[in-house]
Amino acid sequence: MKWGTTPGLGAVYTLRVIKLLDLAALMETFDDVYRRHLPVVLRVAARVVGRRDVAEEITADAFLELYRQFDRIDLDRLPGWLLTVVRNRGIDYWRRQQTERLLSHANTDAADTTEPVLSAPSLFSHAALKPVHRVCLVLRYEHGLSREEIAKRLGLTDTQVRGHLQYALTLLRKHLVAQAG
Amino acid sequence: MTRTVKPLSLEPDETEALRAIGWQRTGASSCPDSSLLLAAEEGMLDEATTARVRTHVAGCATCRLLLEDLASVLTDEPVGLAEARIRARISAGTPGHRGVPLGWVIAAGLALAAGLVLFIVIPRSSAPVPAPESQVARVVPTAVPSVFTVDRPSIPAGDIDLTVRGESATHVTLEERIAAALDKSDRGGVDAAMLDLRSLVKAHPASRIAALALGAVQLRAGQNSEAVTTLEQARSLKGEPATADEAGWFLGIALVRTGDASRARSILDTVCKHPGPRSATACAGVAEIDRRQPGK
Repeated sequence: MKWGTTPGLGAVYTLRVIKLLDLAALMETFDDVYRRHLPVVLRVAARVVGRRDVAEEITADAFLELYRQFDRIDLDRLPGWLLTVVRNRGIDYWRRQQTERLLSHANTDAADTTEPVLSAPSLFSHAALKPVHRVCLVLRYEHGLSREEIAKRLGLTDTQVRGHLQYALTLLRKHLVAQAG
Repeated sequence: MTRTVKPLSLEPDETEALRAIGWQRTGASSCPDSSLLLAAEEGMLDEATTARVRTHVAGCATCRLLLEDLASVLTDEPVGLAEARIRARISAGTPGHRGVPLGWVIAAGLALAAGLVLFIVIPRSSAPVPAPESQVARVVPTAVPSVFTVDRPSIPAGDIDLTVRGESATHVTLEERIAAALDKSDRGGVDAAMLDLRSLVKAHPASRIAALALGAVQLRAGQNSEAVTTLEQARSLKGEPATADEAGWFLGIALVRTGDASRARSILDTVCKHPGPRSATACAGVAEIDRRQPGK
């Protein structure tokens, strides 16, 4: 075939095959990127929104955005680019939440009107408990969340939350009995 | 504008346990929603809200500790099950994204097309032509999200027996040992996890959860036939109904992988019809098998 002439069918097929393989390779790279950066992106998302279920949504959003712009993104900018998307999504989320309604009256003048250090919370702050036990106790019995709600917020199963609560209460009782004796 | 303080709805065992430690609900009703604590630290809130949250936290021992603990729990919890859920969301192009759901499914389609074109175009007189299926497998071995994703099995926390745990509470339960092995597997140490779990299965031959965990890790390692045997054993052992569903789900995947689709369908159908965490995924698995093998 001379230069400048119409390429034959074989050449056209070859070009198409190369393009398709390029795209397939691109997908493989996206999968690699996803696996590499998922843990840090999910951690940051969890801090930004303070709960795992929403963090998972935001993380998925960020990777979907990356997918859409994958051919234009310099991979050296990762995971910073993803974390910026996560933070922007986090700001959107909090705007939607109208955070004011999540605050209590007492907080308006929290420093003046509340006496926050109370005996009951200190019971749940026992050093024998792990952080996950303390969080489950406070969310369940002080904040009044159901076990299902706690599970969603912490990225646990209902069964795990039930187990943590059961363990924590039993351990607290054991320590109190020991102290009394 | 207040956060509604939810009335406590306690189960009898909770009421008894709380009474035993002399607990009464008192103060945290005035505390902000727990998710605000971290968000304020991260600068996600408007200035006024941030200031109010920080003022409260500065004077509230409960919220200070809750903030620390939440940061620890939310960032230490392994990706585990979340990985599969996030992958599914990306794959579906949800939430909130209209238009073409650009997901890994497209990659599968492209790879299939590439494989077919290669199969047609490459002259048969040259190097041996691989079958289209092998081309697909070579090009995107892991990029295709499937309903049959091997995630982390859900192991119940188990009841705590303090007479067994001892004074120092250092005794490690079987559930904790299994969780530690699965953590290893999550971090990439599949072989080490398998060694640990084999020991546990040997030491606890009647434990369904030990066999379930081993079967799931064998699946991750690609030991599909071994996984079938292990998971069949797990299903035959006694245990909670939820763990039977877990074992059924993973056995279904193992059978799909070993080519026994009809048996996989039968088992997944059972899990599908039983309400539980695996029900929806198992139903999707049945639909996937029917789609691949219509009429069978």
